[in-house]
Amino acid sequence: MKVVTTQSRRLAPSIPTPVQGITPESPANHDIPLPDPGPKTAGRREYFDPTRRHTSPLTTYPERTLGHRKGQRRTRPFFLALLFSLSVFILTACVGDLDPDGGWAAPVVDGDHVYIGAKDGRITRLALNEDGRFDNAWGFPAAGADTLGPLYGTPRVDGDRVFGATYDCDNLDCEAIVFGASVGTGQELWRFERQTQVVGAVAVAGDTVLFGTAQIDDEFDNDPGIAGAAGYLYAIDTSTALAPTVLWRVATADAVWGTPVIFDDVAYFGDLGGVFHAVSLGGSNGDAGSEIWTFKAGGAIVAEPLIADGKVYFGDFSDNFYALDIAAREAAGPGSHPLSAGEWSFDSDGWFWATPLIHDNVLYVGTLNGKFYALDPVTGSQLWEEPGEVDGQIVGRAAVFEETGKGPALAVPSGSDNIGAFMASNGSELNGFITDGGVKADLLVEGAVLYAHTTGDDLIRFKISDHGRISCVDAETGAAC
Amino acid sequence: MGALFSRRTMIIVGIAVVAAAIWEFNLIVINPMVNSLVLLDKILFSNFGLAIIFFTVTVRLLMIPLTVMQTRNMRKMSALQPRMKAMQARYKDHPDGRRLQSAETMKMYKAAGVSPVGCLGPMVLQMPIWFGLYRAIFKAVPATPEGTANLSAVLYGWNPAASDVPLDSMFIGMDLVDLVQNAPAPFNFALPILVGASMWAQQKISAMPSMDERSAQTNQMMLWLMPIMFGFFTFQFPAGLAVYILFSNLIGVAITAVISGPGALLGTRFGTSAATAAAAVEAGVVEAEDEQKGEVIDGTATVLGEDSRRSDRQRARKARRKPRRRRNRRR
Repeated sequence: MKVVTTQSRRLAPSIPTPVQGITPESPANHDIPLPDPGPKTAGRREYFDPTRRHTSPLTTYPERTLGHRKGQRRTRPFFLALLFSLSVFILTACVGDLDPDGGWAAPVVDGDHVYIGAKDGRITRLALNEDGRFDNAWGFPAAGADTLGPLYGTPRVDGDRVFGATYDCDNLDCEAIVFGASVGTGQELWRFERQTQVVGAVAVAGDTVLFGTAQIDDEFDNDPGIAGAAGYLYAIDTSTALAPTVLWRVATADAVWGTPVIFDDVAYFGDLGGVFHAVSLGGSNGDAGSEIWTFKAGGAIVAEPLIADGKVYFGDFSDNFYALDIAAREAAGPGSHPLSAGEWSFDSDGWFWATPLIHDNVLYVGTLNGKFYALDPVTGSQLWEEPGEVDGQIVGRAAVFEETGKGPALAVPSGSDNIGAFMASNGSELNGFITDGGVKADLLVEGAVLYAHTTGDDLIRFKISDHGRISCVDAETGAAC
Repeated sequence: MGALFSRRTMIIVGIAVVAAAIWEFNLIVINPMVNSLVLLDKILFSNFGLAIIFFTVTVRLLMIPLTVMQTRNMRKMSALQPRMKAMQARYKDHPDGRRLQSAETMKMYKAAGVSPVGCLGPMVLQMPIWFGLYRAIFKAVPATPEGTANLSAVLYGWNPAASDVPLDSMFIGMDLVDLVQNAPAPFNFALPILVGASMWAQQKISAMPSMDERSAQTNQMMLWLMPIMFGFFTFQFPAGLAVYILFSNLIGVAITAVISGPGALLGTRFGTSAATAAAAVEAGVVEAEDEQKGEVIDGTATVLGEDSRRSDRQRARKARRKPRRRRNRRR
């Protein structure tokens, strides 16, 4: 089909034959007989063009022009319908935002191996030696079997068992799996399923496994929900193989995305409503599952708390970082009390998601806007003149390493392609570790090697001495990156 | 200098502007929307549904000048329909009739102060808002850890509601982030029906009567097809977007009804029905008188009077001549 193009118009023979007295502005335009289309000339016709004022009113167009335009006109409604359908398709395609991705689990050392939770929920491991060989013979679920779904929380290795929690969603219809597997064989020991989200990692105390959830579909587990609850802290007993039972659960007004921490038979965790909870696991602290004390923070709490020197440290989404005195709060009893003497809060300019770290009596923590702070754990005052800064968000915990010839330094994971590095003493910036993707998992330093799990599901090993890369493997398959 | 304002240059510049807008879509459209929704949620009793409705009302109110412009434009175009029909008849048998007709139509529009794309303005402006709101709902109430972490980069530091996230997305028993098809009954089927019905009303009240039989048939088909399709697609929309579309349509109908009169929904817009106008054209009376007078725009389109005279005056002022009507009077 012949289509009119600018070029074809240019090539058309010019016919400078003005029709005298006819212009588009002529008031008597309608009374003048329309010009004869004229004879065919080499496949072209001469047509009157009233829109051309300053050029020849006669111009030429290919003969098929009119047919082409007519065709266009006929297809316009269909074109509009197509455009409309495309728009709707684009709109609906964006629903993928509701699906979790995973890839935030940190590597963890146990015995001779480094265990890693791949982003699709498979636990794999590699040798903890200079070679760092990927163990193809071990994996949970086994290679080729269905994986469990996106995994965010770091797996826990306890004795001869490894624990973890995954969840996946079809739109907002989510299903979570908490599992236990054998370290020796990689076989599944048990699994506990609920229609909910489990974002944080599990906490383990003997045979009791704790984890936080969002709202539960009560019909699924045949367990009536608690009125007003939007989340729970679950405690399940895993001593009976293949059939974990619910020991107790604590209802929260908002979902629990954070990882609980167990210390002295007390579980500490925060919820998205900004309430920090201390719950008894039994013993001298009262009945298991009873709330010992709570604290109302300024914003949502998703960070895993850190417990050190009788204090619990955590940050929230109101840009505040807190240090609470555990003994004083236990003495004050149930209920939420404001900050008292010996407790402090530090106001930053970003949300806290990362778990803090204490090294040599200095507390280090990063924010989602890429700032990395060094604080006095007793007073909460800043120790560096300026906070360190990385490109991207700081979601994972930093790791301490020894910078050759300089002293202790910190590696800081970030959402960019570069793990930041700062001197512990004054926060001066060092050369970082180059990754091929963001790192939202906690970093691990073991011996002279830094391990980083990227959001692209690569496990990268760096040599601390020169920050160079030793190896990079796919966390799920072990294939080289 | 002429090449500077050539059509090709303008197209390239236009594409560049659109590309820049798309490139910075988050910065210009989505981020302000997310912040507005989060702030409104805080103000409106932590109710995200109310925040969406209030946001919709505000957007539609801000667009009232454009809506008025669109309605006036359509009123003028309706009045021009009889002349369009007559012109079609006149050029029907001419081989180059379509081009000539197109040129004369543009001249007629210009004289009447009508912009052929004026009707599309509010619609074109609404599309980025729809796309933006769709994204903004997911961003303001993220369902995943990644989305929640990313929200921190979207919220402005000075937004007092920034620490109130994550927001509660429940509204009268349905989750506004979840798809409409997953909403509890009766919302799962009521929302698509309401969206479709309100869209039908919106199209009906703002449709322009067409003299051309084929166009009229197409319009009639689209009047029913689009709401049915959209109602069907609503099942796949997040409930929050469905709430926005529903209230946007309802407010649009109300605004148009205030401007055009309540008769618009009944098919008797602007006091001149399409059938009446068509009959007048078929009689050929109006057209014959026009041509005898040699005027391009005449008194048949009475509703044009004021605007037509205004454009005459503007043209005359530019040409430093007396308006055509005054010149005609002297004759």
